[in-house]
Amino acid sequence: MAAVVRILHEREYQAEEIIFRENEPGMGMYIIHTGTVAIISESGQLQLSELSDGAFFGDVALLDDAPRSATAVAKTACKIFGFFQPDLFALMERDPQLGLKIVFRLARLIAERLRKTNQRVQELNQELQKIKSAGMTHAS
Amino acid sequence: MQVRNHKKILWLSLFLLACLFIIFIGGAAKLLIIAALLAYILDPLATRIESRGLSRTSAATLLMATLIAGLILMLVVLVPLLFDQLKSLQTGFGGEKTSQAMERLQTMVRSRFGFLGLADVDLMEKMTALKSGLLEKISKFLIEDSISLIVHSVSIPFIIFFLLKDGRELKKRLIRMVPNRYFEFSMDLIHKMDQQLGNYLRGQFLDALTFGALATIALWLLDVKYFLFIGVFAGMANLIPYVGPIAGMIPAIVVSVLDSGDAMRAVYVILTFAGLKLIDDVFIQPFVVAQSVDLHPVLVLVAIIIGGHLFGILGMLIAVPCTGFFKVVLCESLQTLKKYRFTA
Repeated sequence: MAAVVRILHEREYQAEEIIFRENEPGMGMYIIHTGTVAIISESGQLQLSELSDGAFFGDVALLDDAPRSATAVAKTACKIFGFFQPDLFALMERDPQLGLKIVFRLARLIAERLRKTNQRVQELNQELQKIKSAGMTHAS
Repeated sequence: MQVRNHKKILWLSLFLLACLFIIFIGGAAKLLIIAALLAYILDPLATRIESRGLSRTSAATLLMATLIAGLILMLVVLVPLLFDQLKSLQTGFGGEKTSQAMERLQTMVRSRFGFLGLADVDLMEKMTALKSGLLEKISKFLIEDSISLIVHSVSIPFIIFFLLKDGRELKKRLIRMVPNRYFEFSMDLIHKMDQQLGNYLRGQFLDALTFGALATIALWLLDVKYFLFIGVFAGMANLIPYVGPIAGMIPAIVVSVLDSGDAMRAVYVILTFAGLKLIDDVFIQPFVVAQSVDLHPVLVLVAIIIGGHLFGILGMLIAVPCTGFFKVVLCESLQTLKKYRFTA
């Protein structure tokens, strides 16, 4: 655990301060220690979610090199911990067992999120079908 | 928020100014640069040891202890050999063959270059003056600089040890000073520079080491006097592109021809160095120098002049890797900067 804590970067943000921006390169994930963070889609002009103490965001950037899919803004004064890909790779080199544990935990988190997303897509699909069939009935 | 960021930028600028000040204060900067370059080269080895289950401190201690032991062993073996070669340098070039070669050369110079005021030139006298001047300089260096030599040989491993042990923490503290908006950018930049520079510096070091070892062996096989001195010099000179390989070859030609009195020996030395350069370009460089940093010849020349002006011969040797370092920093900064929207 101490090895993981050593590679975390503690940062403090003021309210309204940008943590990262959509389409910029993503270097890693953030864990909220205290405060509230809003995840915003700049392209869609909407707030996707609001996260607070203990929550994390930007985790996909730990595993791939794609740009950030949304912007993260501090809603209140925040204290967050950054956990970055280069540090994770270096840790895996130094302590492969610990690195494997972290990557496995990350994979589980992402799998869990994927399952929830699939479930949500299914629900939305069902709702769409209902709307479509209601529309057809109404038209006939 | 703006004031906070400006304050951080100010602190960062002050830190960079302090770094620049250190660079220009001379001796201490030379120590720091050499120690930092060596620590950078040795870092993956410390990480490899760490991956066997040792703490970073133990890994750095073990690595430094092994290196110091190796250095002491090398000194015990090489110093007597170097002193032998120094002694023979004092008595050398006095043989019949050398005198004959010098006489032939003197006749040729007097007859062909007399119009340049060389009609009465005494090459043997000039040679003796050059030799005594060289020896005087070496002795002066060993006697007058012995204290700084001892200080350097103690302080460089000491700095390397602490950079190996605490380098990661230092980097983390440095990143902590970066304003929030530039935080991910700096992480991205440092990571990319780390990869490029690591490959470049380690590659250069391995290349110089291999070239130096091969040159020493080749010169020993050719029975060239002071093969150890010239081989080590050729290896270090190989760090300098374009002029380095020639600079390493010239002493070998001079020593070889003067010692044997046979001009054909120069051809053998040239062919040997051409072969070594070919081996270096075809086999060594593609394997060890994974990331080449292309430097313009004029830039190399300017860097060597500045390096020589600031820190002497050692400065000339470290000038090219340092220029490579700054080129990587600049190129990566510009490339990474394009991906971020700081103006928005």
